[in-house]
Amino acid sequence: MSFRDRDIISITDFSREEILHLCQAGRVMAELEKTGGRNSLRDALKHRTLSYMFYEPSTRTRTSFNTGMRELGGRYDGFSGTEGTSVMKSETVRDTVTMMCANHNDVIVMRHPLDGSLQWAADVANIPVINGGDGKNEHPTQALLDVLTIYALKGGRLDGIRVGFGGDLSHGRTVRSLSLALSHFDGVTIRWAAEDFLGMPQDLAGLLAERGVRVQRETAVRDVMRQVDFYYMTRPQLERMPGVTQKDIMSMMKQYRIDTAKVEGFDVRVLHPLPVNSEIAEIDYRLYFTPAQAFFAQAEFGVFLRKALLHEMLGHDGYCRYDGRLPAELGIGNNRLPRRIRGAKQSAMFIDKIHDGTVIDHLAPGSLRAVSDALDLENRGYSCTTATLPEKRNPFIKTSLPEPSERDLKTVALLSPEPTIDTIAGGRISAKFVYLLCANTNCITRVVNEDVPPRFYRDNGAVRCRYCRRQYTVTSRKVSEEEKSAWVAGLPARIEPVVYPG
Amino acid sequence: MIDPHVHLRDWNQKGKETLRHGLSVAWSAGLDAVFEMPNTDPPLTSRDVILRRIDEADAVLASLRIPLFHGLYAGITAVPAQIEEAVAAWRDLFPRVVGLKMYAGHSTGEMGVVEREAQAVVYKILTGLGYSGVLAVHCEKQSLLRPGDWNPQKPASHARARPPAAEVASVDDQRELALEAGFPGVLHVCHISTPWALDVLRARHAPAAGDQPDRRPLRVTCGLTPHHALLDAGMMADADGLLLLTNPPLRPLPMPSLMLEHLCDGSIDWIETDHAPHTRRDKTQSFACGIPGLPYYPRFVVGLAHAGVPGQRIDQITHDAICRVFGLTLENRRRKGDTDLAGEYEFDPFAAFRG
Repeated sequence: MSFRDRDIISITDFSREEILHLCQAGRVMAELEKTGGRNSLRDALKHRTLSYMFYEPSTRTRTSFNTGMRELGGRYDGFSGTEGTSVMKSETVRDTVTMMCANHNDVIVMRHPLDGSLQWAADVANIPVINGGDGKNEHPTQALLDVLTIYALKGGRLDGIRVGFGGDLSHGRTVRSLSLALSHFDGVTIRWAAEDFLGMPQDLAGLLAERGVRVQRETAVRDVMRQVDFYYMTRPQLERMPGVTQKDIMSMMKQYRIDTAKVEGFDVRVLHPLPVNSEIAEIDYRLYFTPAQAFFAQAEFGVFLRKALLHEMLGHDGYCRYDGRLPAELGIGNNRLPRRIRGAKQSAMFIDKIHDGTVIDHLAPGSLRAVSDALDLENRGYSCTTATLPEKRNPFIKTSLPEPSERDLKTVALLSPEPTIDTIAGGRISAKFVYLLCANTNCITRVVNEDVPPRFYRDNGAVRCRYCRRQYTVTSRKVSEEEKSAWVAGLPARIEPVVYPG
Repeated sequence: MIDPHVHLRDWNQKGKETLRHGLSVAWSAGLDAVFEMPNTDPPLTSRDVILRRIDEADAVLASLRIPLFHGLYAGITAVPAQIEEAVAAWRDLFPRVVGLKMYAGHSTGEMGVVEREAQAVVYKILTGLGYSGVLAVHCEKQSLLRPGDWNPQKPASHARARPPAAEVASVDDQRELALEAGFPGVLHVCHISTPWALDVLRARHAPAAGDQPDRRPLRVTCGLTPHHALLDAGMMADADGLLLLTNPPLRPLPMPSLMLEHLCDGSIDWIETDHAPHTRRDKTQSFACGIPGLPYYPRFVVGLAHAGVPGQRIDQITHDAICRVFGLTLENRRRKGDTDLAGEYEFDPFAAFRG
């Protein structure tokens, strides 16, 4: 087991042994702090530099990484908030990350609003990247520090742990990551109580059940409190619920707020990833006074965990590998589902044949105008014929554009999912494929300007997006089953690291 | 640690608590000193009564063999000769008589100086006598209280019968009268309970329009009770609500949370319990105001530390600021108080706060 040069992207990348190893390392850091040895490792990361790139606000994650780096003798630099950086001039994630590598840094900690942006950053960077939160996707070091807190407060035990969840189980990253981390251990029970809208997502509940975790919904918070060792409260993620007002949330949270009456009489410790929203007050300020409150201790375990992680990742002599080259494979996606070329069918409606060009077919009904406007083919100097055949519902576009660019294809796919593309050369069909794009609307592969090639991998029976790891199912009926399974068989069976030249 | 605001009863109120009991609980709670309020029965308004109280307290402390410091306030009435006597008692008996107490609104006991004119006279006399000690004031303006709104069937109506406006107006009066008189002492607002009163008090830094530049700056302090920080009026809604009657009343949320924030951020000078025990019978049948605060004191201090308040700040609000303002030298022993004292009284208003 080694954390050296490894990217920390998802909690699912960690095995049981690795989680326990980091817990033990984190406990060593806590022990050092208690015995006055805070700076006893001050030469461990001498001359190493951490770069923090925070596209979104953060208090704890950024400062605790910085504290860890400082106490290990390293330095840190970076940006917090995009104001004052070239991100304001529409610089892409790829270029910004490359610059951080060029600046002789040894590790990057990054937080970004798009799902999957951290896997992309890890692909682009030739130094280790740590995920400090990507959209509503993952925040692995938060999950690790939560596990460390439980491990330490329970005297080094994780098997048979009973955890309650409350607040917002649906829109946050922490509940998902922590429960998946705990699923490595035996006899884990999870109980939760929340309004349906904020409740545990179906897919997560299923995943946990698959991994042998007992998941139980309760109606009242006190029913949960009675039967758990830890109650993990979370903040309603208002910023990720467009159209929902604070007032709505207040009424949803009314009977699920945690106050002293909810914990009275039970031996339970309340955890919270923080911050607490002072308006909604999901935790009553008076709970801070009771011994049930353990979230300040939890926050301090964040420093120990991150310090331990940095020590594990960089605690040897380092080198900067930056040589200014990006691997060619970064530009290649594996999202083109090829179709067999058969003879063209005769259509009832007469349309001019094109000798060289492209046919974009099977567009979603009603999307034709938007697609043709976005492609703007005529202004680019190509012919453009649009039509909807009377016997079919789906419109198509015929153009003299010899080969559509990746950007063109993504533009079409954003407006009309899974378009069918035929390229024609010398009067014959030269290629026939379906362009696939991750269905998660917040995925980085869907942002045209970021220019991330959509890539998928096989995870047991499922196909997942390489970046946001959301499951993907091909819905296009224009592809035969054998074509589909041939494509799936050709996908990599895991997220393979990008190979750097030299 | 010092609790500068307790009511220890005894004498004609032995049924509520005795000096012996109160002082031993204070010591068990980890306190090094308590300052007792003068609304005993009979009240501590004359030299004779004060001396008698001191003798009895000394006898109790000697027999308990505890090195607790017992200080007391001399009560102020509207009678000029009595005010002079109280100041003389302070001069002779300081630090045993730690300061003076004035009730600017009626609470428990009959020693209110409720009219603004009478209060003005008090400040004038004190200034004339050159009184430089602490004048602790119970601030609730009598004319703004609404006794008609009090309905014993609904204990929570107590908060409406003694509205925030009464406290704010009274604090404003005291500050203005003290400034007008050029009061040389320290004006201490007891058990402050609303953020607005604190705002009015803070205006001490901004000189009022038309102020003469040579006017003496006024020294002002205030204290917060644990119950005004942690309990709220909503808790009085059920049948046991009568047990939480106190003056000034518990305020609705979010006022308590704001007061606690002000205690932590340094706008409030210290913690005082306003320990005022009654029997359950007195509370539920004669609607006596006051709750036993001493047992919770050590738990409150532990809670502050648990909630992340630094040790230095806790020393400030439990000891250092009190010694500095009163001009006392007392050792802070930082003893760990017994957190399990709730059983000493007939009810525990802080039952919901474990530890």
